[in-house]
Amino acid sequence: MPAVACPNGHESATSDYCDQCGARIEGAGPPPPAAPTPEPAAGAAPPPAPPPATGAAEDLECPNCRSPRSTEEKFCEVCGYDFVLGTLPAAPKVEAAVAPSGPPWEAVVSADRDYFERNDVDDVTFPDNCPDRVFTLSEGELLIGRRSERRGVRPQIDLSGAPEDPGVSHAHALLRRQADGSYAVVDPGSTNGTTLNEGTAPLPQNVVTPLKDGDTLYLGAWTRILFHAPAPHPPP
Amino acid sequence: MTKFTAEIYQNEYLPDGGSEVNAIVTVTSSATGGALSAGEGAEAVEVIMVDCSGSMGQPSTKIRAARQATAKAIDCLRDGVWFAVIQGSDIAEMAFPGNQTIVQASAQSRAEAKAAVGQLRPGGGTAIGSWLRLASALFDLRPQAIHHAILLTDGKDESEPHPVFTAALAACEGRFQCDCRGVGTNWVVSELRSVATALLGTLDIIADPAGMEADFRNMIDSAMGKAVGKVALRLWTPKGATVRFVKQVSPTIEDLTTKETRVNELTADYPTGAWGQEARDYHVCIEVKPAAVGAEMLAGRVSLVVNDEVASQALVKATWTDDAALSTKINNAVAHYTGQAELAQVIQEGLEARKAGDTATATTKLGRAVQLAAESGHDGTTRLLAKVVEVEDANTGKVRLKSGVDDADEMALDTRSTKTTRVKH
Repeated sequence: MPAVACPNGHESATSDYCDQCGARIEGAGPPPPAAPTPEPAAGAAPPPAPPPATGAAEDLECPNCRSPRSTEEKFCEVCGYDFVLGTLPAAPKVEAAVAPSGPPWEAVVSADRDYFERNDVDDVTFPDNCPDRVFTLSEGELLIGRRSERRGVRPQIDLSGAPEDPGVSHAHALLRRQADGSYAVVDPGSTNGTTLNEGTAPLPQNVVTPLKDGDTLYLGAWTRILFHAPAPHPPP
Repeated sequence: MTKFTAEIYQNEYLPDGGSEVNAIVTVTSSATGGALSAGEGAEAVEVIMVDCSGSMGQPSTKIRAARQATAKAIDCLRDGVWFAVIQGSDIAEMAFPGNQTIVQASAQSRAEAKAAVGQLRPGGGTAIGSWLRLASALFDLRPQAIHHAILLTDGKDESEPHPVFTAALAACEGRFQCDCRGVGTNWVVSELRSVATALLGTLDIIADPAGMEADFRNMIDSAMGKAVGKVALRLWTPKGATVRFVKQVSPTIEDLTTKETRVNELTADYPTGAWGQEARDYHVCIEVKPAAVGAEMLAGRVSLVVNDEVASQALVKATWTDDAALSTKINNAVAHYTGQAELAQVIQEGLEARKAGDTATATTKLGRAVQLAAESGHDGTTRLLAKVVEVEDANTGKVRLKSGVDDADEMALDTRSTKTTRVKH
């Protein structure tokens, strides 16, 4: 079988993915399912056209910024251009799709003894000292969970600090800003589920549920998150 | 001919910086050109090792049941299959045929073998390593055949130094498969499990000698159904990646990670033994170097290797995304088998803690087991757990330890802890 050159310059005996580095080889089979790309931020330059499929290994300059490159590199050291995919790195998340209107929402995280006792979880003790933690919802999308470097999970609402609720999943729930500036919650499949307000069934997985001012999420063994929407006309 | 297919179930999306790729590989083997009928199968050798130590005579129902079960197993051998019976004590002796060889099954050889088995008498100690070495020597007489053994014991391996036992076991690895059965409650689950695990076989308890006959028949029927021997799961991973583990997860949990044989720098083979027409699931976990959001890479190429030929392959992929809704989703099959692996682990740890008198740990672990078994609809394990703990609430895993638990119930729970339920795709 003739060797095929992979985008990183390896000679691969397999023609779908490189048999050295695993990179997808151009022109092999149908394209992968469209990877979700973030909405381009306002004012960001349009992504440059992908480099020509042939000769990628011989190109000695970055097709985006013309800096020199070696065939071993996958990304341009100057502008971060991805030689494999022909894209610029994702623009930093600027206030995503929906711009905030007025003051931001707040989420207040507390330990709730009533909920803890209703839960009746063995082997978890209620924390002695758990001051409220207030998070300002300044981003369009926020993850509630516990940080894990190994899994690459870095929640904006990170509950991994002491006291830690062991019943909260690393990626527990997702908050998304809606068109009207309010937030909605999605449970992507947390281990122990998420409940909205008292006396209701846990949220169904992967279903977007809108939140309103004063709504409370219960998760883990004792974690309560209360949402405050800003008053429409803040007092002077 | 046997045809293999491999399918991958995974969530290929990783968050920015994520590096752990999990996938379930379902491997199915099916016969092409109609099912195998009796006498048509591949060349096979069957060796039955029967414990004839002194304790097998106490009570004598044990040795009688062993004789009958072995006779029944001999009846189930397909014509032409090579076989032998080993009489095990503190030494290994040939029960049939008389000298150290194997014979092909026929009406006459089966009758002679059954007559010899009827003469088995209990006496002496237990040196399982010596039985395994004799079996291995017998298999070497037909090196190309499918090699299967049955090992029956009622006691602890106490007539040989432990290093002799482990050395014998290591020498047999990869040479034959061995299903292990413990009769009564004086054998050691961990010891027999080490044999079954090393030799890619099943493990079970026969609490009541009366149950031996049906069990032996099932083992032989299953062995006679094997059409291909020595199939390996081959895994290629890219440069810079690490294989965290490769486990069989259905029908039972068997960790294959340490059994790898390197093919080259990026490729390793994991033994899966002989195959009939069946389906098994494997959980592969690979750590890759994180790439930029939007990048896609091949994290693993899984194939089946039958007689040095690659039979089927499937791709494990990784795609980095900043859409947390995609990357946080856990694939159904991966979640199910992660739960089943935890179930086996908490049962074994819970029983160990119970033996050590650590009631708190035992209650927590076995409570978690009850919860996991209920969640995954594992009725068999739920029933076995209920014999060891009093279940107050299966949903929350609230249990109390029972006092006065029958040894056989506890050993059955331990030996069967690795049996899993299959995921519904």
